[in-house]
Amino acid sequence: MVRLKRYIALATTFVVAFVLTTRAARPYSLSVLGTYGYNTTWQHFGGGELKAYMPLNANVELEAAFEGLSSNVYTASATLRPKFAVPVGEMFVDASVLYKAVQRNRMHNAAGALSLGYRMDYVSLQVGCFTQMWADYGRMWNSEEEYVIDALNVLYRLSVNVRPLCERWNIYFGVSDYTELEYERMWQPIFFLGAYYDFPPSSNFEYEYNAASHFRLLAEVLCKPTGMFHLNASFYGAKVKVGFAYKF
Amino acid sequence: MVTDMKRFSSNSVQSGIDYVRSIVRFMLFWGVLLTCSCNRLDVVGMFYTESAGSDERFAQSQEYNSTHGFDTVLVAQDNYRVYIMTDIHVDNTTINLDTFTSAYLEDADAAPFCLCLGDLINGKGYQPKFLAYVDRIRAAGRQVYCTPGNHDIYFGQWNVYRDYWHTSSYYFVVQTPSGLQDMYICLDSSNGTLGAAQRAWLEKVLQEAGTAGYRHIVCFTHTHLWKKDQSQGHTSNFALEETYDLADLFSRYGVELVLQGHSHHRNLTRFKNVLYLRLDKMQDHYYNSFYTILTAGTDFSWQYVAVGPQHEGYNEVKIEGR
Repeated sequence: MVRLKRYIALATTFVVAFVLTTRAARPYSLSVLGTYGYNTTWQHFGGGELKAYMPLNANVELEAAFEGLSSNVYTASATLRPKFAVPVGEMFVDASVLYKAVQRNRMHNAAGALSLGYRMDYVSLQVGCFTQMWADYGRMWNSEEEYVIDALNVLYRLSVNVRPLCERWNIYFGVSDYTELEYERMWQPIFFLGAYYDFPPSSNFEYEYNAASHFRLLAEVLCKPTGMFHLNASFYGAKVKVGFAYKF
Repeated sequence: MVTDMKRFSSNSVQSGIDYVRSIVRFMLFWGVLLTCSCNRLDVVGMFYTESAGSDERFAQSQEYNSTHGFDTVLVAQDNYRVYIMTDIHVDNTTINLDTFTSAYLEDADAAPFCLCLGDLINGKGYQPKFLAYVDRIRAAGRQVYCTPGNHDIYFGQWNVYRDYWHTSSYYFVVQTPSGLQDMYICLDSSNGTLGAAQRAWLEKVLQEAGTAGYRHIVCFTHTHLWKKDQSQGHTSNFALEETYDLADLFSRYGVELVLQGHSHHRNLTRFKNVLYLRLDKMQDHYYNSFYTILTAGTDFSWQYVAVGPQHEGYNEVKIEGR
């Protein structure tokens, strides 16, 4: 056991050293978003989301997000994303964990996901699996109560951009059964439509600090129907997020 | 949402367009094929429901409830047996339904009511076949309490369901010889949600039940809350928000047992001091079809009764009793 711990410590040291000494390809960014939503269970709710994007080196990214909602639900998530270029586009692997404190209903909800993605200028496709666990706040260790653990779900995300990724603004739309802040069961799709806009530099001097060029405007609408695979689809809820990202 | 700004090779543009084209072609092909060839699955229902929505169905149910009230059923013993069937999916044959009906009517000690947890029929037009058996049970002086499943509602069949059953959100009270009372609440989850109005009604009913001194409060509905195995197939669950909410609601107001169908396979989950019992299908021509006999006494116990061929060892799954 002690030997195993040493191996783990050594491996961790190497990974951290590798990550810290290789050069990141893109700048860090921090996003702040305001949220308004409605669903038939929580009715109207609002909140905020904070999201950090941290490229550790040219091939590894880390994303972390936190969301607090007025419906008394708080979510934190983290994603580690190794990625590598292929002749056309880019492939990536997402390893994600999520924790949701459902304070209003006094329960924990945690999820873990692993997926493989392929991204091109216009289309991004991601397929993998995830599972989630539910537990009561008041559960005692010796209780008859169970942790409810979902069977493995298929994770999917198909996103289409109307312009190539390199453009200053873009609109994207698609379908997925997850976002960075929730993992729905596989037959409960979430439809999304979003856009971003990068402010142009405010000056022609290349080496001058351009505050505007560091900002990106973000907006996204997420819509969740219910009963699609009951063959009785109807509207369940929607969420609108608007905010900005600052690229360091 | 901060996406990579790196420009991929120029080939990627054409490649992306080709990729989207291939997806569209695939979807068109299967969409047209399904729409033309399938009279068992309401493909249009993927996008909207031809039946009334959950709030409208609830309003119609309440309209009936307000004029007809809620039943009280007298049973002969404090420990009574309730026959339960779910996911019968009647189409061309009624073999298992016939077996169930005969067994129930021959059991003189059974409670004078049985439960049906939805998916009575498999597709449009089979209601009369199922209802003939309900009429047979009613003719014997017994009652069937039913909740609709998704198969009973799609193809715009809500009106057909409503014409016979009148209501899909209601409760009834079982009174035992010792004066004990059990409450059974039927919830309509046939399109994967209770809807806002039915959810509010449920909380109000449970609040009132909390002061009435019921021995047991039992809820029954079609869609199940938990997805602990892969038995579910390609059908929806409740949305996450509603799953959190219902699990908490049942727990807070002392619901002891929630009976569910939909996945066609049995499962037992205990969460927040509530027992969720998901039952086997009773569909013809499939392995592992069962009905369930629930005994309600001081506590609950149940047994599964096979009505068709079984896979070896299936009935030995150790989740019987409590």
